[in-house]
Formats: sequence, structure tokens, C-alpha cells
Amino acid sequence: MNLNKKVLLYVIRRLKERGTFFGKLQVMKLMFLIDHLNIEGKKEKISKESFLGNEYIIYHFGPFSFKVSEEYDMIKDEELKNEVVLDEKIREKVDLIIDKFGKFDGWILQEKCMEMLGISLKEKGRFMGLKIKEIVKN
Amino acid sequence: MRFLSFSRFKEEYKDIEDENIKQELFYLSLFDISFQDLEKSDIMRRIWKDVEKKVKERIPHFFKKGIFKKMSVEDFIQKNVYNDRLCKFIIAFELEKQGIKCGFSKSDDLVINKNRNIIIEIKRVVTGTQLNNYIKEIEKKYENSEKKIMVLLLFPQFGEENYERVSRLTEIYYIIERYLKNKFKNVKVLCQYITEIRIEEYSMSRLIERTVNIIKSLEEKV
Repeated sequence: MNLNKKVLLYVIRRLKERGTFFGKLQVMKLMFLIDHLNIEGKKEKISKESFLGNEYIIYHFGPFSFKVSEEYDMIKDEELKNEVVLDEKIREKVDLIIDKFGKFDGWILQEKCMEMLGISLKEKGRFMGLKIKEIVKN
Repeated sequence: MRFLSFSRFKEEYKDIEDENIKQELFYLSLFDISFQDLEKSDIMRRIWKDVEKKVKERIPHFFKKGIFKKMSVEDFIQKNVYNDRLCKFIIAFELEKQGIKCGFSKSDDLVINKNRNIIIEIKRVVTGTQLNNYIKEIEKKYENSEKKIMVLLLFPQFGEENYERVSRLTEIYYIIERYLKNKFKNVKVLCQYITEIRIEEYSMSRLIERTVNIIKSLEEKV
């Protein structure tokens, strides 16, 4: 099983355990945060580099990854029954993101992601279709 | 090349004369692939996969090969189709043909006439949840704005749905205009269902005709 799928299964399982699983829009945005949000203490910063290697593009409902979308759609219910073990470094980051953002639904997360990217509602149209690496400077 | 420019688009599009071909291209421009994130049912997701396949297969046929020398078909679609760029350009081109001067604001919104006081907010709608979000966004975006706003709600045919029935349902959304009128002084809402294969009532030409009439009525308003 590839790393991306492992993380997806882990995220969905954890959200379900917490009782805050709201669907694909939410999981997509959490995967984006896992990939691109760097948290150091109270500082949060979107980085150009992708932690898991997924590429995201801005569309109307925020960052979207074709790869993550495809893998999410291929997940079968029975795959969610088994526990997923992640490497410590990866698990730490995923847990941090879920603890911080796992309570929000996809709509709220979408707004948060755009805010973190510094894209206001009025400017959104200008960024639609751009990749994260084309938007983030660092 | 990052995005297709309006002038480059015009070069490509001006030679398409067949209304059926225009209809197909316009229909394919009405999907933002990220909308599929909202779908919970497997059937809807499957339809999205079909849409994705169709867009990838058909879009290259509408443009000259040169355009794909600097950019792969996939990149072109991701940058110009799934966002509302292509859809917006087609509408602007067709409006200009009807004598309505179009331009684009700094934030890439479609604006009409010299004073740039009429904005066309194009929203492509597949589900009700989307629509709800769009309306909230429009409210926020134009809060305290003096602009005249025309909201174009475009409902592309989705899967094997019965277009006669669904198109009637989409017209119900006129109620949105009544709602938005409480928020903005000059606002008009137009709902148009768009079929994949050209049917006059649900065609792009019908949409343009209706849009022109609304723009004229907005121009007259103080």
C-alpha cells in the first residue's frame, strides 16, 4: 500500500473515531494541510514543499489534488476496518493536523486554507487553476 | 504559458462557426472538477469520472495543436477549463459579438461596459450545496459594493438526467434574486440549464440572448 493511501485511511479512521468525519471535501483539505502546513509552536506557515509529495491546484472549493481524489475514491469500506500504522514522523504530523483541524467540516476548512494561502474571496478568481508551488513564494 | 489570454482565446475560437460545436465546448467548460469532493454517492462520483474523461478527450479537438506545444493537454485543462476561465471567455466573446463590450477586472471577474460598473458573476452549479455556498460568497464579496451585479447560474446537464424536468427545477432558483435584492441595490439573477447536445431552449445562444437583455435592463438602472 502506498504512503498516500495509508495516510488517507489513517485520517478517515481517526475522524470517524472522533465522530467528526464529514466527507471527502474535509479529507481533501486535511490532506492539503498535512502536505503543506508547517506548524512550529504557535507559528503556522504554508510551505511550497509537499510533505507527502501531492500536488494541489486551487479551484472553487480550495486546494484540490487529482492524486488524492483518485485514491480517496478507490478506498473500500473493508479497508477502513484494519488499523493503519504510520512511521512516527508522519504520524506526528498527521495527528497534529487532525487534533487542530479535524473538528471542522470541509466548508470551514476550505475557507481556512484559502486564508492561510493569503487568498481573499475577491481575489479567488485570479488564483483558480494555479498550483500551490506557483502561489507560495518560499 | 500560465493561463490562456483572452486575445489568444479569440484567435482560437473565432473560426468555430457551427453552433453545435460551440455548444459542446461551452458545455465542457461548465465543470470544476473539485466539485466532486462534495459528492457522497458512488453514482454521482462515477458521473464525475465520466465528465473528467470527456473533458480530457474532447477539449484538445477544439484548439489548434500549437497551443499544446508549450503546455500539455492536462495542464491546459487544469489551468483553463476546470476554473471558469474558458467558460467566461466564451461568454465574453459571444457578448461582444452582440455589441456588448467586455473586459476583466484585476480579480478576473467579467465586467461589462466602459465604466466597468456591471459585473457578471458566473457560477457553475451541479448540486444544491454548491449553490448555497455560492450565494453566501456573493453576499460577502459584494458587501457595501455599489456595482450592478448580474449572477449567472449555469446548470450543466449531468449524467443521464431528464433535461426537461431538471431544467424546470433550476428555474426555481429565481427566488435567489428576491433574496439578493434585499442585500444589493442592483442585482439580477439568471438561471440557465445547459445541455450537452444543442437544444435551442437550453443552448448557449439562448443564454447569450437572455444575458444581453438583462445587461440592457441593468444599464438603464441608476
